[in-house]
Amino acid sequence: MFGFNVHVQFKDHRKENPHLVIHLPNENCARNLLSRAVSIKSVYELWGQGNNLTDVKHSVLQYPAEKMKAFTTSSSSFKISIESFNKKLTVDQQRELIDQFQFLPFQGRVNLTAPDHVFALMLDYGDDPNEAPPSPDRLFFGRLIGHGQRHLLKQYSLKTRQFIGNTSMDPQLSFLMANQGQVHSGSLVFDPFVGTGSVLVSCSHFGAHVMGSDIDYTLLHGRGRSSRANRQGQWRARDENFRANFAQYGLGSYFVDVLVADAGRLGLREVPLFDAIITDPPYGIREGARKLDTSVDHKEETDSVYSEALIPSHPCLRLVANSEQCLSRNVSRRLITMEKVKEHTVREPTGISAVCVP
Amino acid sequence: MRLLTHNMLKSHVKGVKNGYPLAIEVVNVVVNEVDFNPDFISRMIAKLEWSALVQAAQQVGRSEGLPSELIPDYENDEEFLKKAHHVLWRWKYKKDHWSVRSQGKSFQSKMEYLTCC
Repeated sequence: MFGFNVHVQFKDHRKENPHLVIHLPNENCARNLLSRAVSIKSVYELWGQGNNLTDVKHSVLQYPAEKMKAFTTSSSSFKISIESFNKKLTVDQQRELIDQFQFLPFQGRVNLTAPDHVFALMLDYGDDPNEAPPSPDRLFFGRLIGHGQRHLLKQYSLKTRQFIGNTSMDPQLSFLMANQGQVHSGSLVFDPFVGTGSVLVSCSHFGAHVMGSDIDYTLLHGRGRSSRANRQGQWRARDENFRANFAQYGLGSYFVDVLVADAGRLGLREVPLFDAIITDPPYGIREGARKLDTSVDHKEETDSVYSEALIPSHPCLRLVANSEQCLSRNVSRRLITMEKVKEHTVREPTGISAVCVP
Repeated sequence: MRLLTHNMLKSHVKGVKNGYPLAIEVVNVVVNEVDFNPDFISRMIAKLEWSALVQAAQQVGRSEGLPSELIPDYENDEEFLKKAHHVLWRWKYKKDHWSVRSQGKSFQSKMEYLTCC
């Protein structure tokens, strides 16, 4: 989307590790990455790393002095913070660690409240917080570049959202979906199973204009019983409706329209209209399938085993990503990202095969 | 429903030969103040069927100042984009009656569209 590649250093990285070393072309790329990522807490410019304190100090000393120079001048203030993972360190322990880095050529003043540059020593005490080893397994020292968009998860939390349904998409996942769809300002995004618009809210946060459709008339008009646990069985309030969700976050300008229609028979012109189609289709577990034409049997395979071959394919679409979310021991769902590689012509045999894989 | 959406809709009712554009009979009009976004409007115009938009604008009585042919180089004509913004984007038509005309008969469209939200 921003036109750069992220090279991830997977060597001795495990899924549980909180730190991941990546290679980016420049600092601006890191800022672009941070402007969209909801799963990244912060990005640091790595100055040194090691498995014990001496190693880190040696490694920092190897860091080219001319790269340090811009951040260690006498006119800029700085701060060194300690980011410890899985172990709490007392203030005295933290100060002791910070004092170890006195060898750095800082000429500016320390400013703890509003420093120009923030440096951090990151300590990783393994995976188990109850049995943390006396000394950390891995240490990193770096300069803070910025924080990710994790604050959005609280801002867009479903707990405080005006209008939700039974299967409203969690904000973290819907932001991930919006990122997979690479939506940006000026895009037009469509969701054929819009529900309460939880996926579209995230897309419009990134500046995309959004449209949707759903077959559920009562839900789209904000009627029916509430989905809130503390208001079980009660009717939805008058202000719990689709538009209120966009108004709540100041995104009203991005909302185009919603159609009450069967996703199989939308009645749209057969020309390319949308930049992305992002949806959470009903797979018949939490919300049942409904159709206008009821003569067709809807069969669900609940005990089939997953394999790559089960993903629906189309000659105009290329599979880009396939991400799994485990819901319970034997049920998981997948986010499938596909890119349109050529225009669809009606005469071409499509060979679409759709299979429901719970 | 905005005219932007109307422009994308085509009848899927069986037996209708000329189901585009849908005819509009407006009952209720709501002004919806939204930000003017020239970038988005020019991106949308590229995807629109311009003659259908002019026809729809005439039916709802808001075609004043709208050229019947799409002007060249509209991306840089802010005056034009503002007019298009007004027609496409600013007005919302509430509780409309949408119908499909074909072979002299008038079918009411089977599709029901959410208009108010």
